[in-house]
Amino acid sequence: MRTAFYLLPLAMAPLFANDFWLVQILGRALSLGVIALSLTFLAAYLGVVSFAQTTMAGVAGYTVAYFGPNTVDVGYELPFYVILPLAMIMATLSGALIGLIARRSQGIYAIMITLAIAVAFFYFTRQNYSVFNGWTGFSGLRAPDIAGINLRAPVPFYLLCLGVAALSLVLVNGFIKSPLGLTIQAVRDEPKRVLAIGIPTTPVIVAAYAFAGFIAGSGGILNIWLQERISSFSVGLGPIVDILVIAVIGGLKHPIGAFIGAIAFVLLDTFAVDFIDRERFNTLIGLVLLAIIMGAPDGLHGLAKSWLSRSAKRPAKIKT
Amino acid sequence: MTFFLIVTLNGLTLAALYFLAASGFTLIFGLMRTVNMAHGALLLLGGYVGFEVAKTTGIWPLAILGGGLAAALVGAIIQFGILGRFQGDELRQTLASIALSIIMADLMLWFWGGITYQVAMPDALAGGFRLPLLGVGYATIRLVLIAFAIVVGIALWLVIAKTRLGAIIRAGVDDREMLRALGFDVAKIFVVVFALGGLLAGMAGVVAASALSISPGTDLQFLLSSLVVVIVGGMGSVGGAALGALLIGLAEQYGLAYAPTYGVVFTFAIMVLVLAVRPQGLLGRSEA
Amino acid sequence: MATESLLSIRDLQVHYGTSHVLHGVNLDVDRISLGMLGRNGMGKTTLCAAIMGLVPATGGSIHFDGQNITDATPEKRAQLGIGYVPQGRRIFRSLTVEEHLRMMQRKGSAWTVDRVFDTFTRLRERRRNLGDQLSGGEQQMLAISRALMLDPKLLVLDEPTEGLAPAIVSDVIDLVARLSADGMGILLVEQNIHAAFAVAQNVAIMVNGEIVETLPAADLEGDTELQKRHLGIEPGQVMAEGDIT
Repeated sequence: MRTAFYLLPLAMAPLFANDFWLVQILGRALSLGVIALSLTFLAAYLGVVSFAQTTMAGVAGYTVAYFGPNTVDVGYELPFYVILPLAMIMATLSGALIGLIARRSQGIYAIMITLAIAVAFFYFTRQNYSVFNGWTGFSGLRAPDIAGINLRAPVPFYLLCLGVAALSLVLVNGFIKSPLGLTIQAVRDEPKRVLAIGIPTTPVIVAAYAFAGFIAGSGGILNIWLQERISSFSVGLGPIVDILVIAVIGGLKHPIGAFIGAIAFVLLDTFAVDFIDRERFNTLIGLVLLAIIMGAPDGLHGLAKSWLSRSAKRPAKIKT
Repeated sequence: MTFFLIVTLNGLTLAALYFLAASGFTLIFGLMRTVNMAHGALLLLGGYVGFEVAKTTGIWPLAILGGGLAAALVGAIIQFGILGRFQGDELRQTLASIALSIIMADLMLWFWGGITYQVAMPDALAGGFRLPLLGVGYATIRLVLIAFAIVVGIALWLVIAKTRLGAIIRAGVDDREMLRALGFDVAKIFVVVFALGGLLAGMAGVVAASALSISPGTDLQFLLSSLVVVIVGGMGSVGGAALGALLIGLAEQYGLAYAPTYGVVFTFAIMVLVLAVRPQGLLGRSEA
Repeated sequence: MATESLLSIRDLQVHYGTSHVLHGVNLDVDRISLGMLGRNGMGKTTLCAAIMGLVPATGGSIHFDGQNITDATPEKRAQLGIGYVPQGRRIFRSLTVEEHLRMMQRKGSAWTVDRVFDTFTRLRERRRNLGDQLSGGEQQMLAISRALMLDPKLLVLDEPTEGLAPAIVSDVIDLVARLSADGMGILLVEQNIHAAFAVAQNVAIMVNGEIVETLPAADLEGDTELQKRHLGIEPGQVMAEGDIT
């Protein structure tokens, strides 16, 4: 299986990578990759570029923060085996709700509406103190010990990230082949025909967003365990654009693109400081993004694919 | 009662700014179907350039003009050099404009730093103005801002409704392909309209920098307000931008005054409601 | 490839995605009128769009007035002198009649706004009306006038009589016949063979994306067998809209 091909060297990473690489590079890339995967899923199979994936991830993150151990004295502590399912349910529901609002919007309209929703959520978390604790947010968030394994230790945390990432990919690949997944793709291609054969499109679209919320939520939980805090800035425009950048750089056509993009992004983010002024990172990432959009609209995944199949005959491009 | 009226005036001021920002955004969208995510960056650029012009010359109208022209030029370059290359692929254009807005915001931060700027205004505008009937003072610049937005709105309407360029723009909104088949170089017209949108954004930036202030983040604030305004008012409709700006500006100020914590929810609720009832926006055309 | 014809199409191929719509069309149009007949779905409208550059050619060539325009933009083709009256007329709904014409005004053109208004007095009466407030016949007059404002050497008309009342149909036919007599090249795509016979000197018949026959209009008019074979009509019958193969 192809997945195993990618998975094996990654599973052996703890043997040769140090803690910094395991957590700050690979762990971070995998958790961001899972959130980006939810965007890639919607883009590839529903044909909608959503800016609200960070929001869905944030809903899961905030749920864990509110009901889990934290150091800000807000919230109500529950055991982790209640919190985690609850956080996933909340993220899925937030996805469904966003899908319900954006259900009639496609293409650029969907971008605008999901962006507006995401930013409204950002402002809301900033202004609300009873649940979201405003600007400050939550700190001191800790991954639990499960079955005697301390998930805060580098190797278990890394393997957890890898496991969640692999599981999400498998889940996405299975979901798109399911009857519901196929219907989602039919709605992407021919919404009118889907309606005409008697399938209402709204539940299908809402289901796609809800599924994306589920995926984003699992990435969101990993992300706050890594960061050990969450605040309005975690769901602000910066992270929103980061996730978009990751998905676009990796390639929106294929789920694996999200992880390729995430690795590239994290490497740039971590090591660009060696080449350029730390302050100018945004210019660099903007230029990389622009170069990808202009030169390789299918992202690094598309580049790699066309590079691999360069010897094979490519279909002639039709100008429009 | 006085409080209510002051809040209303504040709402109108904000609406005026939102309209100035959103009019260029919606104009570009209406003709080209391009969601210009760099619109906020153009606005901020206009504000900074306006500040420099005001500092150098001390002439406020010149600052407005300078800020507008700088943003118009950059807008034209963006369309001509980058976005025009993939006309018809709106998603790619939108993503490219996001990249551009990231780059522009960062370069402006580099050049102008993270501090807050306010454009110096002529003495006549800098003071307050005692409102008749109410007997309370109100910043003159804010009243000028409302007047300016009305003048710009009327001018824009005249250009679109009464000139040959306006007729060509409307024809392009109706049927871009047919316009080309009649011999019009649509690519050139797009650059002109992008410059016009930039001009409006740049002027809005200078006005915002005069009535309020500008700093990094102002770009996103106005990009988002423009998004919400055109979603509510109807994309591509200048009248819709005016109506949307009025609704959102007032809602935001009333929200701030009467329900500070949930002000943003108010705005958001309006947007969701409009989307539920009229997905194309209040004055928007449905996509056939 | 220099040719003597005004418009010369060689082996033109057009694909929409995976479907092959035009299979090597060869066609010459001169300063006489050519009628293009064929049932629905045979590729006539696609051919018009390809001549205007609105759909890309995937093979073959188009020359106009001695120039290779195969890859030219639509605006370039219009500027070279191809006037386009599209199917469905495609009047700009938010422009008035007068704005449609003023927009097209160019220095030195034989057709001015006033000349159009003198020719079509009905349009003068309705000069302040918006495009979508016009009747079908008025829209058709406007669509033709707006193309004439370009001073075209060739006028491509895609089903100009479609959906019009019989009295208006004869007005349109008379107008096109007059333009043809004045020396303008005419490519008239029609479902209504009587309209085509009234205007065209030659007719071409398109079947499944190919020109199967080009012959003088009079010959086809007298050959009911040929009409029946390619156009699927009985003598005297007007092909109805929605007459799908």
